[in-house]
Amino acid sequence: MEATASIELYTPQKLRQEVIDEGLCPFCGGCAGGCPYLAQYKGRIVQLDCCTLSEGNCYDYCPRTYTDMDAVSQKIFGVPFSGDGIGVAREVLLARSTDAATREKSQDGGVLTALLSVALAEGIINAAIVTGMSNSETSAGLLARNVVTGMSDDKTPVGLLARKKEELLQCIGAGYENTRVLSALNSVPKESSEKLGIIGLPCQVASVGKRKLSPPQNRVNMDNVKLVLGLFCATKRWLEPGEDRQYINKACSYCWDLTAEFADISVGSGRAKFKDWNTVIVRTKAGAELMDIAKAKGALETQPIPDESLAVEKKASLDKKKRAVKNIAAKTGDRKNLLYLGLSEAIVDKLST
Amino acid sequence: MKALTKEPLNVIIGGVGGQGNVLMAFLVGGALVNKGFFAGVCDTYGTSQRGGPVASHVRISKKTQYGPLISSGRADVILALEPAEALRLLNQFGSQDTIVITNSRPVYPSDVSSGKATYPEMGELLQAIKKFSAKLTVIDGTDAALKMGGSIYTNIIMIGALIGADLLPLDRESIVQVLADRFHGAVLDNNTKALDKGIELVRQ
Amino acid sequence: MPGIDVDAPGSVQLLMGNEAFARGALEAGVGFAASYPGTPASEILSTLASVAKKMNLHAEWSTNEIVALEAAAGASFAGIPAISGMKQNGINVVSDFLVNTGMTGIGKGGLVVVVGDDPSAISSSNEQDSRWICRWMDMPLLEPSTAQEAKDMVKWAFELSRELDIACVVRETTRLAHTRGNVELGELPRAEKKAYFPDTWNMCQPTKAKFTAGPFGILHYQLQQRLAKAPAIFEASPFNYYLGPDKPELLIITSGICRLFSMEAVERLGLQDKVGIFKLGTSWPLPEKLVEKQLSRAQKVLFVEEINPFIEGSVMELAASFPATKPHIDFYGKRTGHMTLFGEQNTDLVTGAVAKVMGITYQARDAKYDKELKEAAKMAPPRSINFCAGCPERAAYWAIKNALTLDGRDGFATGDIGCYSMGFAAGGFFQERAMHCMGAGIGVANGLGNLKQFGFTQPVIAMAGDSTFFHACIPALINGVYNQANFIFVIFDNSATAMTGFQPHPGVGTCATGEPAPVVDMDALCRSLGAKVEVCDPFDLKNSTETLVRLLADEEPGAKVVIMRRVCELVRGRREKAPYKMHVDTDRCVGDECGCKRLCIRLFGCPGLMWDKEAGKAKIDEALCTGCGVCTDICPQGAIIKEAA
Repeated sequence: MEATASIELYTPQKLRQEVIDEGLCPFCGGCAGGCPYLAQYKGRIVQLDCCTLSEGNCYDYCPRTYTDMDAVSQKIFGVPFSGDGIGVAREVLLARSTDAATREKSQDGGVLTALLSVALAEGIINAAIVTGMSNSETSAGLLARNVVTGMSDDKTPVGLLARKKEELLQCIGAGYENTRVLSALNSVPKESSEKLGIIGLPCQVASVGKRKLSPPQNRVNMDNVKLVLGLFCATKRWLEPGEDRQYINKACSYCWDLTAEFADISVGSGRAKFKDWNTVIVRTKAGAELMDIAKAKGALETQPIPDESLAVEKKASLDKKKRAVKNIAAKTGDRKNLLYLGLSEAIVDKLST
Repeated sequence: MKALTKEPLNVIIGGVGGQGNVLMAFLVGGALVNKGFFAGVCDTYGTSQRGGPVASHVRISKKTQYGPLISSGRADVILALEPAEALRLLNQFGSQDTIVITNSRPVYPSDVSSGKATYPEMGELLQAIKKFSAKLTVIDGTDAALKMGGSIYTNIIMIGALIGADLLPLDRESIVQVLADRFHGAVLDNNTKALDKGIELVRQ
Repeated sequence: MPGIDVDAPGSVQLLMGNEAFARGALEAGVGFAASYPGTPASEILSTLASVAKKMNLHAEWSTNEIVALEAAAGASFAGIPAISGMKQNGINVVSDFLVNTGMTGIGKGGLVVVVGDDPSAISSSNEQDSRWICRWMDMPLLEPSTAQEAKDMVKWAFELSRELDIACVVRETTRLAHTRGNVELGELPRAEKKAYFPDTWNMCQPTKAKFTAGPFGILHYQLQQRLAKAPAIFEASPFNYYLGPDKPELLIITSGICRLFSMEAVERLGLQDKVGIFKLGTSWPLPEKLVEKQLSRAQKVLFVEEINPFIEGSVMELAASFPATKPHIDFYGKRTGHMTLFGEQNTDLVTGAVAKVMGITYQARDAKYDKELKEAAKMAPPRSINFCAGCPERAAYWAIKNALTLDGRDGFATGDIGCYSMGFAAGGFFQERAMHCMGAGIGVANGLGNLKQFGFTQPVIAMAGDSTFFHACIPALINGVYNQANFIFVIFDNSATAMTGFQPHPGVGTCATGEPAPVVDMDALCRSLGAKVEVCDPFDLKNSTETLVRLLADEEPGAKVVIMRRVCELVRGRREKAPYKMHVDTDRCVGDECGCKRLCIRLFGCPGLMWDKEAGKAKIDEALCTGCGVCTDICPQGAIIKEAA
């Protein structure tokens, strides 16, 4: 019979033990796709077989394995991680798409679609990685080689590369199933020279951040990822009166990131006060450039965000960070052991008050 | 008629399942019976078919029927279609007096491809066979077969080598006769050519 | 194959044991042969089938061994000499019918049962010594030791069977079955064969029919009376003989192929003037006077036989009945540890045993040479058992593995006998978690599928091949429907009885002689039994996996059958050329790195894929690849390319 290593764990098993079995997995999909040993299936990450590697992308890019927050922040913004309200922000404003059709299909202001359409049209990116709900072959082409399962029917999400606005519209607003974006990113071949844009939830954006910090050897060239658009985490949005906790993945109680702080631009709901609008946080130079072009092309209309609204966002965001630190510390029983969160002691103190 | 050099003479024809060594042993055995010898031919197959080691034991005697399976240390000649199998058979049945003729082309098992095992470096492998046998002759049987049109001719070429080495009480004609019993036309011609190629190669 | 039907008495052919059995049957005028394939006995029927038309005999592959034997017995009842060859497990399957033929007699035709034991279980699930069935069920037992004897014994077995009115069992082992030896041919009979069932109802003088067994203890007594005639016949049989000095120091009593091992062992030790060999060909019942005569030659007796101390036991029983005045004999054999109780015998083992009894040291070869060579030989890599390149069962197992893992409820698969039995090893990804005998896969699933009340939630997949399905699975499938057991039954339909040599079966459309035969529709049969039936192509991994996942999650009670249908690759490869030309795009192949780690070779394991050590990439082994194209769908990087050939 075959001998398996009893002393050393192989990577997917480490991931299972430290993240999945510990209840930390946010189902971001960063470990699946491009790897035949892990599959996303019906709300679970399933290990299909044993790769026998002791180091690998799945563990390295998981947002819930050790993350050096300062290092990621330095890589993307050139500054250490501050632990402040909404993270690095050049500008915060309200915006919405000027195209009625787009706004019709979207949850709020359609800003994401507008930004991506502009980015595609201007050649800033050649393809946007999004999640669709259709059958395998669309004109956008299926890249996610989830071939070991090969499963897709019209009830299963799949990662897609949208290269035209029409293809985007098929996917955006399809709900909060954003789970296949990273597996599609993982499946982009090394030799591809397409410029890519990604939309992701905060955990997914953090996974991309870890990738930027230490790029994969045999996968997509991270320099081709020109644009990372983050979504504010929507778990709260799913709450209707009486539908309290069922939409929330338990693992989310250990998450610090409300506004996708490692993105170029983060987009969230305008909340009740600005129902048809999006709250937009512009973080990087690339993000700022795109916003300018979008405004100049008339794809977006904008207005300043009222102080109270901004304060609400900042408080919500800070509260989430504090809650995360509290919950993780309670889990480990040790304030100094914050599992995946690699924060400086000063920041930990700040978030523990 | 060629004489039997030993009583009984023990020959093992071995290789990897699928290389056609059952046919080889059958032809050699048939030729021996035609010449009035007692031949015992024991093939191992069954689950060996699927890429495993296979061997046919051939017992040759003027006097009586000998049993299957040559015993340890009693193989006089090992004819191998695959070099690692030559070493394996030598270990199981050979002695310092064994004469080994082997094909040079290795067949890698999935144990090696998957990384679980390694295939030895060819020089080292042949050195080991040489060290533990009386004589080693390496025949580029597969290469010659491919030049003739297909690796399918390898086994007949190797029989040629066995005959050409004058180790058995059989001559070329005795094999041609059993080939003619089984094959006709162009197939017979090609097989006869393969036989002669093997005789030529071993005598080089 | 040599001309098994050659009409040239006195000529010598090189026949394997099984072919010799067939020739012996022909020389006895056999008219009916029925078998189910089973290593090491399969060639008996296929040899007879190859000459069936010319030699005016009926030869068939039956659905299973018991139907085969019953059919053969039917022919014998009607006066036609009949033979049924089977592997050791076949004897287990036919045992109920066999014991009842003892009660009824076998008619005027003559019935010969050849059973092939498989010492060391080289091609079997178990190791067993089938000879006991003759002691158990009061039948005569013969054991040939060469191909020549195989022919001569089977020919005689028909006569013996008719004379005793009992089925005659001939036992071979793998080495006899598949070893070729010189066989001098006898005459082929010319007599016409006429079939008639003699014991029909006589309305004016009605009686119980002879061929009915029944609640009559006297039938057993009558059987014993008939068998009691055998020893006297055996006393004079040329199949029992002694070779050696009149009064040897050691007497070897041996049977079957072990006689040749014993002869050579004695030769190796140079003890021809000290050791004699008594070879018993008629092993049950013992020709007691003859055996007693041999026992009086020596005070040391060594028993050399395959598997169990069968002869050892019966001879020692006889010796125990001798008066105390007889000289004491030391008996050596399996009881004393001189011979092993398991595993096949060979000349080396027998030589060691003889040397031990004779108190001499024996070394097969020089100790230093032996040690150094053993060490050097470690460099020869293992060649693990695996499915053939292009095998549809490998693909089916891949789908089963992924479906069970995705389902996530600790599901498992139970298996059966056939090529897919290899699913217990790496070739089938260790998916097969139980395996016993023909039909047991679905059998045990019936139990596992009815444990809900005990908190059982694990999904169960039962597996069987197409030939196995017809052989043994139908009653269990009916049971599953009737007793509402919850399992999925996967049938690997590769249109052949592949493991034993691609013999046809009722689903295939040809019979043993190669002629067209009606097809029994497996799909319709399952549906008519009340099962939900789906058919998948195992090469369509996506669809197969999805189907299994869907059915695993299906809470509706009732039998679910998934037929994984695609012809055996070895069969297909003989008829057609390869559908695809395969190659690996080395730019895309990630090899040993994260995202692959040699998945295609290390896990999927098709022999058509190999590792290019220099390049550090996978490569197609053109000598072995059959161009099936499945690995294209396995590669996570899309690096394996298939092009229509």
